[in-house]
Amino acid sequence: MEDNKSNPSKQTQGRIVIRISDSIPQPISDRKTKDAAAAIDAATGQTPLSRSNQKAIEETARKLWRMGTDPGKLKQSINSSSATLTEKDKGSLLQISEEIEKLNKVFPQTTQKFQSQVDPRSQVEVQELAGGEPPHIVHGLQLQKTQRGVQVAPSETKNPQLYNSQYLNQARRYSESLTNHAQRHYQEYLVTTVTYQEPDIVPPNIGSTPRTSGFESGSSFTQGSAFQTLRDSFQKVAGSASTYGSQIASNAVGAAKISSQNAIKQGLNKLASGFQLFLARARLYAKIAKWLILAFFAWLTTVIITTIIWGMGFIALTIVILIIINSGAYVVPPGGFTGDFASNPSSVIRVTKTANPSGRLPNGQQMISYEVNITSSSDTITNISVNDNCVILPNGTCPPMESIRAGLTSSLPSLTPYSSFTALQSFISSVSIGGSDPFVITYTRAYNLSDATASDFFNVTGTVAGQGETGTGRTSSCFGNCPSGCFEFVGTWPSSPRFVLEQAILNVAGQHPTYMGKVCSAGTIRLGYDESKVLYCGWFANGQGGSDVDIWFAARGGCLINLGVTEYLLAHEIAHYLATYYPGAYQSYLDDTAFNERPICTYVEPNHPASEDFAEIMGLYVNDNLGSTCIPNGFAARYPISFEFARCRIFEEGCN
Amino acid sequence: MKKNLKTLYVAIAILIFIVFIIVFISLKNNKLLSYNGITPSKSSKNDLLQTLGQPDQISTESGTTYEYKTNSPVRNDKYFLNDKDKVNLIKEIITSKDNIKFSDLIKKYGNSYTLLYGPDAQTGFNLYVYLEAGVAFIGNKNTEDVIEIWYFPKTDVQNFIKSYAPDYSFSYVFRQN
Repeated sequence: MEDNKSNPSKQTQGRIVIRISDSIPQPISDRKTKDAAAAIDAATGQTPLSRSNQKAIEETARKLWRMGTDPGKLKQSINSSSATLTEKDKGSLLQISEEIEKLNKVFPQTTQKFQSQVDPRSQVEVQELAGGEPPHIVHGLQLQKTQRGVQVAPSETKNPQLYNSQYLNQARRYSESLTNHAQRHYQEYLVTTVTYQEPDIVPPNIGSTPRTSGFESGSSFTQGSAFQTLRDSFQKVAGSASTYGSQIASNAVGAAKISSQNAIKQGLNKLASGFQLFLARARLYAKIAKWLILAFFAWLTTVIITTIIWGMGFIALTIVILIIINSGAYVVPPGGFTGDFASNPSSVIRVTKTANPSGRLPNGQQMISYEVNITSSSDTITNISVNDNCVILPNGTCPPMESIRAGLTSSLPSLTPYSSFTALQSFISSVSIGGSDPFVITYTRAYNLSDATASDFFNVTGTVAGQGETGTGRTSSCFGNCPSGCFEFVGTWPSSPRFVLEQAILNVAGQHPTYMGKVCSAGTIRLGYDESKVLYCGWFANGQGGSDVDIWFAARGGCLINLGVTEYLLAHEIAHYLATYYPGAYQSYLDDTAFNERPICTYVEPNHPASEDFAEIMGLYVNDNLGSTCIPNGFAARYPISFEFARCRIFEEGCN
Repeated sequence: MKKNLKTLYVAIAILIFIVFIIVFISLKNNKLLSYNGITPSKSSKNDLLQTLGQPDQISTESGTTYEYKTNSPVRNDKYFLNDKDKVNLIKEIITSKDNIKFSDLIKKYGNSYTLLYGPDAQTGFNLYVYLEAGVAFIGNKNTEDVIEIWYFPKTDVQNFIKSYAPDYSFSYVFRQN
């Protein structure tokens, strides 16, 4: 097989030179146009051209436009040079002219400023260069012929080392947006009947402070305004303070380098022209010396400024951190929680359950001890009944409860032993439990599991102040590589929030396997942790915004701290995933009478889209024990149709 | 001379045929899509009442809108009237019972749509607009679900957004959820 790269005969080595003017271009005085020219210069050669001839044409057109090329003259010259140009090259050059025309039409003011560099009497000349023939350009551009067409010759591109990477990225995006805008609005310009206004696309300023956030400036993606404000305030203080000084230094030195390089280029042009050799050299050295001296003073100044800014930045950062720490306790999560999230919050019957050992366990035999605490947040609980529901996933049989003991906390450590759970159930029906003396039940189960999840739910029902109430305590234990849905933890996670979320996943997967099965049918869900990205507790980003994370989390309020709240949060966020990827799920909500119950009051933003109500219903179905004052009697009582919709249509639990 | 006359007749016949084809194509292209016999910008309020009868609901929140029941117990078809009592926008409700899929509409109207992002963009439901055909639909290409089809007079994209889809734009707006 022949290798094209190693066969010089198959490579196209020709060059074409476009001479715009025989006189040195006039300097641009307008600041914005100067920035635009600098950005186009910096971006030239940075666009990946490997796969697209169109990109090469657009880049060449931008460069020629920036140099003040008249596309009419260029076309004329291409046609008159047709004898020396191939049809393919001629076609590419005419395409370039058309791209310049579009830029001219859509950006008339900028074009005028660019064209003011060039003597209007000068003629554009297009010439194909032979072999090693020197280009002899005073003001023009050298192109290189490739197998696909033509592109700006590598010798014409700026050295990317002269700029910081953020400026280069901004310059490239700015340049591409010019072309995109010109192509999109060209037709519009042609048919417009009102006075045409040039679109205001602001070029990056080489001396400005680059943004330091993971969110790119100039991106077509925008954030919600509240989040934007929060993010901007962090950036303005912490981000700017930490980078401002060093950026000034690098930019100033970069600018000096660019100027030095320009001086070298200008000098070399003059030398090449063969006129006033000695004078040109002298001017060249003088300019280089001048810019070196300026660069030294710029460096010295910026070192001093950097030191001052670092000092001020450190003080500002300390103040911001103190404000964040101080205000962290008052961040209101969705629904305006009011309870104590570290314990089981506002339920009237409070059931807390712990397992020892807990969390992830190795495969094999394992004895787990459970402790259940039952108490009341208001009046005494009477007519108590208890039941325990143990589920093994993916399949298996629960071992029996052993060593069952129970009694009031005041009687600890001597709890009464019971021979069976039935015996305990008989006894507890006659007990009254008040708020000051919780009732404690302990028992063990001897598991022997491999790659499985053991979930244990302890339900307590009773009468409090004449009302029937229910409370549930839950634990899940993971043996080996247990089934935990389709979740992948990506990036850095603090251990405690991750542990709570893992528990929540095990519980939701264990208690609502159909729901989890639907959610997971679309593939792996990537979970990330970043408090700066999340305004409330969680954010379904769906892999957008420069990251492959599907859901971002933050430990705030009770989220990723209290297990119940975390189950609600997880079910809410994965419901967005369900709506996006599971056929018919969201559409079924839009056409269910549950839709008439919206908006769901626990969602924090008052004017939210219906997709938030859909997600909120799933979250509340999994756990409504949030302490939200707008559902004092629970989710099912306030939104019965939505509860039934979740139960029957989405979770498919006990409906026909 | 006779031969020249014959050539002239043939040329005239070809010319008439070409004119006929051009007129036919332009008439076909200018034909607006209608829904339930109602054509945007052509049909009046009286046409609507004659064809579909009295509406199930009339709303006057922003202009007058006549609503008619659909397969959905919640969402109605909407016919928006302008100041001159002409129908200028129709929103047809699509439910799962209608069995209209995203790919069906793409197959029908083609891939040359203008994509606009709206309030449910993060859930994958976007507005696919065919300005030339005067039709648009809200759909999710992942799930193949379609929830609405809109019919409107031919217009440009700026006017479409301004007049019919003020909640939609070219930008994908991230919102915290």
